[in-house]
Amino acid sequence: MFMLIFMPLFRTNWLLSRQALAECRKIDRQYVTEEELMRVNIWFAQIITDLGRSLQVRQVIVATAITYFKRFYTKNSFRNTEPNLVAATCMYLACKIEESPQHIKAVITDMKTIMQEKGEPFSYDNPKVAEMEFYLLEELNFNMIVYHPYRSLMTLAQDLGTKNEDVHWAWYVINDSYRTDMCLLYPPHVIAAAALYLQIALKGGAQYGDYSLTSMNTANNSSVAGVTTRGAKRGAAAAASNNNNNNNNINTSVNETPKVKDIRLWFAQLNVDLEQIIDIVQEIISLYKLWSEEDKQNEKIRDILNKLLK
Amino acid sequence: MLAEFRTKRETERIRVEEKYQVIGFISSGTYGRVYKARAKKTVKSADGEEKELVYAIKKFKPDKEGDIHTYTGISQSACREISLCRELQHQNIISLQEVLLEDNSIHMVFEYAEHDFLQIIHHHSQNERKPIPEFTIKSFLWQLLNGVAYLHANWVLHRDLKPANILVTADGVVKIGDLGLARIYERPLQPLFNGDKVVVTIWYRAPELLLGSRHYTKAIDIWAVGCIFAELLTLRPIFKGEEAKMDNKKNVPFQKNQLTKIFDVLGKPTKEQWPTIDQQPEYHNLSSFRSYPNRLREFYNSCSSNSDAGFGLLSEMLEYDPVRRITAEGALHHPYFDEDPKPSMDSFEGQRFQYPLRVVKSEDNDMKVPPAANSTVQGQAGATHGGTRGKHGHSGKDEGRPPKRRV
Repeated sequence: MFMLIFMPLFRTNWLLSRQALAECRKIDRQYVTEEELMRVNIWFAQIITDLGRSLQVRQVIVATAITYFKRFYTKNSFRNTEPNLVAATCMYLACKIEESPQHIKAVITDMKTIMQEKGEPFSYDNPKVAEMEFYLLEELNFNMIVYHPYRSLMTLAQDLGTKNEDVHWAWYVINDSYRTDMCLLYPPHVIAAAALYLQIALKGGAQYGDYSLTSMNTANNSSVAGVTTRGAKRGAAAAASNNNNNNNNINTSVNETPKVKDIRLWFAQLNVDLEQIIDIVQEIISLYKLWSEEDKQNEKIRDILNKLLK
Repeated sequence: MLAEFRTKRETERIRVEEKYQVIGFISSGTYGRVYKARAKKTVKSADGEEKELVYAIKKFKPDKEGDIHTYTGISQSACREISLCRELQHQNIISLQEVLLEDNSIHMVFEYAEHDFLQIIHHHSQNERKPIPEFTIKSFLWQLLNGVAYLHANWVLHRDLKPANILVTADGVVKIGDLGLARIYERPLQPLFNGDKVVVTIWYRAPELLLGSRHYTKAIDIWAVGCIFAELLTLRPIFKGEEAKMDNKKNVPFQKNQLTKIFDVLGKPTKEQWPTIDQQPEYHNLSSFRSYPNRLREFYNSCSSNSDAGFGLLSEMLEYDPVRRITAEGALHHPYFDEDPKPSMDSFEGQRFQYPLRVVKSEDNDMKVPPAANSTVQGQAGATHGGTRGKHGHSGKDEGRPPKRRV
């Protein structure tokens, strides 16, 4: 496949099956439920995202840091480690690897501010983070280069003739996917395809020369309808409503992008397992569901973290 | 909680000395020191014989050694080298066996290479006093290009190709070493120039960099390969200029001397040769040069080879316009390699003599103790296995090779 050229170095396999991932989390699952663990993952992905925003680093660096964090916790249980220290260290290392090094003090200072706001002091100093970096390297098996779906997305979108707006929202969907386990389960180009699928197919695909595609996602309709999200929520919500109105506006924007291809044919030719794409789409939709409750759950996450870490 | 994790890690951690026995010190540079070591565990080869495995261990100095409070983790260049070596796997790229962490130091365990281009060039110019056999040169060049083509196909730029960094095993296999400056450029990066300054060692630095270009490209690596090809042919650096140093205000100086050396051989570049030359930031400086004739043919005729295809390939690698310069892939398919003698993966095939072995100081075999001040090995190079970097790096023998500048 043409997009494979973006991951030629993807030699060491960090991808897990769902069973293997469940096995990795056995210890943590003794203390919290699957759903609570999902909330914990969302929580720490948010901390790393906040830290990245505060340090003003690029999105790819945030994605790399979250991937490190997730990989680290496939080999360790939350209970035996200090996730806030691990999170800060992941960001510190990701900045170096992505060629935008940040001073260790800047990372610590910003992390302190962020954790303060969350009512949780961050009391580690330079040597602690530097020591943790050593351990992190070992746990990562020194595989520090991480491939992300962003570049595949651009290639796919270009090939399909996707409208800019859709690429934009698909990009946000990819950002959001780092709050799920997708980067541990599927290769980047499949996640990119799924993000495009979520964005385009749920809109009905009419603009992309296909009128029968809606049948492919009837299975998702029930969950889509109830979705409210942040991040990509506007996109997904628009997609959901578009989907409902699909029969009415079928012809409105057909001519908007003349180069677009038949989307169903195109997805079929991608040589990507459609079941994987559906799995990713569903996972992201359940993320949006959980995430939308986040406002109410600040207390809840404390309870979960207490159960998990103490 | 961390204490528990720490204990778990420390007990799992393998000590360097449990696994390897240090044979001796090879060389040192600003990054740290390189040792030759053998694995304590031998392996049985196919014919049932006990085989000893030998490695080069590169031990990085921790930043600000000893001072725990200012310790800020692993250096950017160690980070780069480990992350790239970990992903790359090719017959002509030095292979990283493993990485071990101990005493706040990173130990990179590489496959051992007995020789390097610089050492072989020296041997021919100082001891043999005759040129390197054409078959060996062609095999060296083909394998070097093969490794560079692999790097480039994987969106990696080496950025510091020079004879000292090109290693050769005892079996005549070329291994590109020292990826400490290499960068992936496939991902959205800041301009590659940022934070790095110019890095290629000046003698191998492409004209577009000398004229102020701020981007590293594949073509810059190819220029360096062209310079190395010429050096293999004549046993002398083709463009042996002197680097203008940065002034106190950290202004990057114009490298007039190095450009003069290039013009001496290739002539002053014209707009026909290099249509976008007037867009180079330092273009205005060119008016101060007189015109020079292109003497590359003359230069080539004075060396041992009389292959027209060889001359063709050299001139295509030393093309002024980076856009027109031949690619690694293109060079591999150049007619020069179809001519006899054809290149081989064993560059020493049929050779009746052996190059001197890498000098190893066996009295300095304690990795924890810095070697005695005067024990830097003379004339041994290969940055993976030593290197020309820093003030300890090299010897009188190499005619004052310039150190690479690094930030």
